[in-house]
Amino acid sequence: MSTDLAVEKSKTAKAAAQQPSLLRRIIQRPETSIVLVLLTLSLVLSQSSSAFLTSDNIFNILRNNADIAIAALGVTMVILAGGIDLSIGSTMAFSGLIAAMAVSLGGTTAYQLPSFGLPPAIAFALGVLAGATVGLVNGLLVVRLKIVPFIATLGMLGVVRGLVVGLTSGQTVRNFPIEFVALGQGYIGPVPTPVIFLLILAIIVAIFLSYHVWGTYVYAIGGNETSALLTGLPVDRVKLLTYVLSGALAGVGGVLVVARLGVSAPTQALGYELFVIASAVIGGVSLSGGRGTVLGAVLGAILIGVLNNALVLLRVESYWQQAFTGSIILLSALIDRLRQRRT
Amino acid sequence: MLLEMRGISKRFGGTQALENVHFAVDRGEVVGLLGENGAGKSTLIKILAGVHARDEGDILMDGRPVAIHNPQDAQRLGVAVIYQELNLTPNQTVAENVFLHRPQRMSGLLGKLGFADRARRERETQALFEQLGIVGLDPRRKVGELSVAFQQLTEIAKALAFDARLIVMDEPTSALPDEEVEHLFEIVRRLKARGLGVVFVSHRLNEVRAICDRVVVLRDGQNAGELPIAEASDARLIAMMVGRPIENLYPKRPAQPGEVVLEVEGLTRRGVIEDITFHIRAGEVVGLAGLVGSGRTEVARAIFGADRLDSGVIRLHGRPVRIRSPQDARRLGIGYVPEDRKVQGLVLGMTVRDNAALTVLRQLARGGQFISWPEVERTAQRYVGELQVRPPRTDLIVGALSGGNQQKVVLAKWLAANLNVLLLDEPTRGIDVGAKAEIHALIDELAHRGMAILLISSELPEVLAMSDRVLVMSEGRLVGELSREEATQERVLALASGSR
Repeated sequence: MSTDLAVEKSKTAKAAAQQPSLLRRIIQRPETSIVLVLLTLSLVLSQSSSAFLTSDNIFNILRNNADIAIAALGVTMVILAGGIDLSIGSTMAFSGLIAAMAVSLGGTTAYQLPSFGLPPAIAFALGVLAGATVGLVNGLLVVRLKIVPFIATLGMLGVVRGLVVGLTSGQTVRNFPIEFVALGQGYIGPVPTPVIFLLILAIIVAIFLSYHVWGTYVYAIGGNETSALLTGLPVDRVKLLTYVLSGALAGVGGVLVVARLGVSAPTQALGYELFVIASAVIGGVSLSGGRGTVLGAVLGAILIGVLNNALVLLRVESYWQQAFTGSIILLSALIDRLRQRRT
Repeated sequence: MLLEMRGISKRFGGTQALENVHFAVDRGEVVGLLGENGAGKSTLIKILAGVHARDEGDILMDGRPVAIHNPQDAQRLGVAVIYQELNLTPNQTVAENVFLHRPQRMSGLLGKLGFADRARRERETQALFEQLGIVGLDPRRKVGELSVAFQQLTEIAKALAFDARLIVMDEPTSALPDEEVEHLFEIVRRLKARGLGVVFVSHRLNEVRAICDRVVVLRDGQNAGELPIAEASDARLIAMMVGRPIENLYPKRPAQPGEVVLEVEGLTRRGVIEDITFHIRAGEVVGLAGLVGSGRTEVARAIFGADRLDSGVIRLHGRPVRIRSPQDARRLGIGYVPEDRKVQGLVLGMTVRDNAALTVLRQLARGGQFISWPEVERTAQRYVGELQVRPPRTDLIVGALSGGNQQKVVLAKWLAANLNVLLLDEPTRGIDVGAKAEIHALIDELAHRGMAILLISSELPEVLAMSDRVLVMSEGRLVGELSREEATQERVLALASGSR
């Protein structure tokens, strides 16, 4: 009798082990650990610098990193589907340049770059379209020509950056109408405009990934492409879409960078792919595909922003920042690896 | 005793994988290790191989306690494990692989500098092959170009190259065509004659009986029993493995075939399949037998649109259809359960619910775009209940389920899709006896509901027992058709091996 009871108990214990409690599941989410890191970091920073925990500073961090976070939304989809997009930085610069030329009133630089003085909304759309086009090329290289994503987008990183430098002969484009600059520098209520962009886009992408049929296909393809193919899912079209969306979102980010800085320079967003991919990976998006969330990617971008801000506030020379970000990528990849081993 | 494992226990997190397990192998003895998936066979083997550390217990070799902390220790002690996923480097030659652990160096200075003596390596590999009676395997061939059978032989030679005294073979026959199995057994007998101990892990009872001297059965991580081979009947072994007797492994009711559902005519994919013509009626299970590599899988893949056809016509309900991709096939109500569920059939990291609903997300979505998760949950629940997936939960990650239950999820995925035709490729490979009986019952049930089913299997008893008709393939061609009454193991094998 008593042994039976013991057996029953061990059975329920086993069942409990299979279904972790809600609290445990929340703790185990990668997003939770970023939030904790963020909170700890904020606490430490607010002790060492009174400038940190001011709403101005917080909003500035968000504003300055919204473009990276927006691009991270796109690359998250690509990575979830089992790909990678290294051309982000170049795409951002290209989109920014297209929008800048479209909107620029011209006349300020000695060199005659074309400037069209189009309305900001149209310039914005053209910039995003340019990004989407780069994404389309990436996607076609991967899906049609079967070039591995790493190489295809690495090639495009060079090609597109070269295009930007070539088109501008290394010159900057300036002189934008105030409405365009406001996209990057303005506020809606107390909130910086780029942050509003980020918020809206993040919600759309999150809904797409969790509620749209193709969102689930994205996870399925990243989780097991062969199986997805043999299940009759439109694998190629979904993959193509992720690259196009990644390009378009990088485009949004790129235009916002130009608007925020008031200038399009050929070296703009150079190396941003590092920050963007780091955001996703830090946020728990698995580089082997199929796992991760939009929330994680956005939190990852914010964490990188806060860290960079911390380096500034703590008077670390800016030359060192990239080394820090790189280390964080390695660290988060390590965490991803440990997480995978446990499950 | 060559090897003795005493009171081995091992926990993984919350699960007790092994509890007080005893296992012994003598010199010149072949011991069968049986048990359902999750019974602890792999854990036991991996402890022996130094992959996992034991929590409790002792390992003795030649009566002396030994410490095995890592694979190198195991190797030094002469324990070789040949896993199902072979550990060979495909781009290197057979000889390089055989002597991977013990590079044959050149004599003199070059050898000291680490240069390998290729000719000697190849000579010694050839010598090992001769000792084992392996013919037709050139040590200079690249391993990646070899058949699975030859790759396995390369692994065995590799084990001998570092003087293994105990060879563990984990399901060595599961990927072998029937005619190669006998060859493997011949080599196992030679190993035995040389005084090596062999542990033979398998699901196939008839093979265990053919080669083993003694059988050890594990169940739920514990010793379930042990029998000398003379007393190991199927019924006793199955009862030991499952813990209860299984009444009927092949529940099959007589079919009432309806009209022709699927017709294929002259299917050809150059160099792979040639002029395949057959039909399946509603409510009929048609078995497709043949040796591995005879083109069975390729026929299914061609019908499903996974591979391109050079010529041929496919008709559904009498109307010709164009199937250029798996998407087309799915739309026409054709489902395909691929032979390797982990690689081809499932997204292991997703939940049972997501996997089960993957084929029908569109139909369950509002306006074909936005998923209604409650609807998906209901659908998944229905199939989890109907197919008795255990545990009966839709929120578990598929990778955490046992093989049999994973396969049920693959089936659920296709049942949800409302099929006319179901192509089953090795639907019970590597699955527990208990779950096997359930999947067989399901196949029978689906046929009774009017589905047309093509059943590909390397397990002849399964094909013979479950099919209404059996088609036999050899070298990419259909070489015969047998009615249920005519189909015997001998006739199918004779046709399959091309000797009519």
